[in-house]
Amino acid sequence: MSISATVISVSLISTALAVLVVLADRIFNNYGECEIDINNGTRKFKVDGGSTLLATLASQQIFIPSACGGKATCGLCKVRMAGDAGVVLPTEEPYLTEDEKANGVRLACQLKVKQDMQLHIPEELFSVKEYKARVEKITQLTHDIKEFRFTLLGPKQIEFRAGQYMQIETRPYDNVREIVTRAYSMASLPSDNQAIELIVRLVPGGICTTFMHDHVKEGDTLILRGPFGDFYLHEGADELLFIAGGSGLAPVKSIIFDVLEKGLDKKMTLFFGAVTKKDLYYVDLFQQLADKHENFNYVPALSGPEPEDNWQGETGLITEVMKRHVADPHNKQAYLCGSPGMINACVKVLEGIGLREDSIFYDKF
Amino acid sequence: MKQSPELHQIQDNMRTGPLAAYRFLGDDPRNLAEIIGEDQQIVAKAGLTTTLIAERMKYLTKHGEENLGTPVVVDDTFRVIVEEHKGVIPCPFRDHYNAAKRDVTVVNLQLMESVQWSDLSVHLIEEHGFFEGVGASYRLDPEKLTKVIGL
Repeated sequence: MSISATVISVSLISTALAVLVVLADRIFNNYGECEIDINNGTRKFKVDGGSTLLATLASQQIFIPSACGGKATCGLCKVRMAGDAGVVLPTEEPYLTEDEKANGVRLACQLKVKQDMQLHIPEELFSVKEYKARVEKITQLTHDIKEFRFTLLGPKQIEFRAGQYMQIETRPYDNVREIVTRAYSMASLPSDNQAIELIVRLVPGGICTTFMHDHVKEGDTLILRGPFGDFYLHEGADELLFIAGGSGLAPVKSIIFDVLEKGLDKKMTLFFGAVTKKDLYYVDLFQQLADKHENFNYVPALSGPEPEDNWQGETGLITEVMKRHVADPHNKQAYLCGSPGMINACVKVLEGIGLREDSIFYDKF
Repeated sequence: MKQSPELHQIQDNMRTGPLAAYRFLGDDPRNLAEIIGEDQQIVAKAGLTTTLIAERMKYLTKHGEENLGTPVVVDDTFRVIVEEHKGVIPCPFRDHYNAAKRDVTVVNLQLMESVQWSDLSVHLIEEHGFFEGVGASYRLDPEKLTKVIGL
């Protein structure tokens, strides 16, 4: 037999086997129609069984936060099942505490819809939508931070609270074949509701930040989902302290501008910590804001300025700088966004000053 | 060290996968078991253990992390910088360990040589004896690593 005849034969056999596998899957994994009841009837719909709960909910435009694309590596897509959803799978075990297991919490990406299901999710997830968005402008803010401005193509408007975040879906690139989603806080204002601005710092080896920095160009179309998160302005104080580092400035910028735009009577101070001058950004923007608004104070601080920086501003770790400026905890709230190390250190200082735990809000990376 | 089916599956996941934009095995032609086995031999020959190495890495990391991204000199010999990034990275050995994305750079001021690792590197060495494949961004050559961190 010639080589081409062998190749054709092998191809035909492979195709026949693939068809058989698909048919078998349809026959043996046919769970029929299943009813999904969310939050005691708040949403109820029927679907064909067989897919994961995460994918099933997404097909109904209900998006549960997930960062790994359903591979059980992030443990974010937790939902609370009301009825019997079967035994917890070994892939779920490491992400669930004993309390969560006792309360029926499961990973939506691992749970298959095989029967009627009742579950509970936070109400705010009903307002999460999937957006098609075009990259309108990319601005290099520092050597490793870029700002991405997206125009929403559909839906064309978004409602969110200043401080919340979106999830970006990547596309396969280079040797990365998987699609993943990652969260980035919005830097734009809620009133700028036909666009979204995200700030992305390049993480060495980061799957999504590498995609955003090296593969996304102006004019590209991406999928975003959101809004998510509970890092936003809370009632109860006349003076607000904002402490940010790196790309943590994004939600803080959104909140500060939102407060000023709404004319809320709040005194605000922004502490932004960086190592050297090349790590600073939005300096002119916030300086102009401070010049214009009496109730806004801007304190950029460098912990390790280089001689060539000719830095005249505050120096030292952001915790030390904060201590120099904040003495009285009365009527104050603090909003922190940055690395876990920075947040932990700042919370310790703020509590030391006397700020109550329930007056400190943070968004850790 | 024999390559078990489980290690083979992990190896496939490391070559390319949803964990990171880089490959844990780099362009190393050896299989996972060979990489681990040969590096273990180097460690044993030096009279060390992976636990000892990981402990030393954690010691230097701890001193660096207190300075929030600013360099600090530890024991008059090591300049340490700990930089934190957004997100976590899961262990490719599927043991459900999620490491914070932190990069630690250590310069041995006497030797003027440096090494860089992440939180995941410490876990991989401590729990799996894995220093990553040759050519991987976070590959730590055991000989160089132990020399630079003063073991």
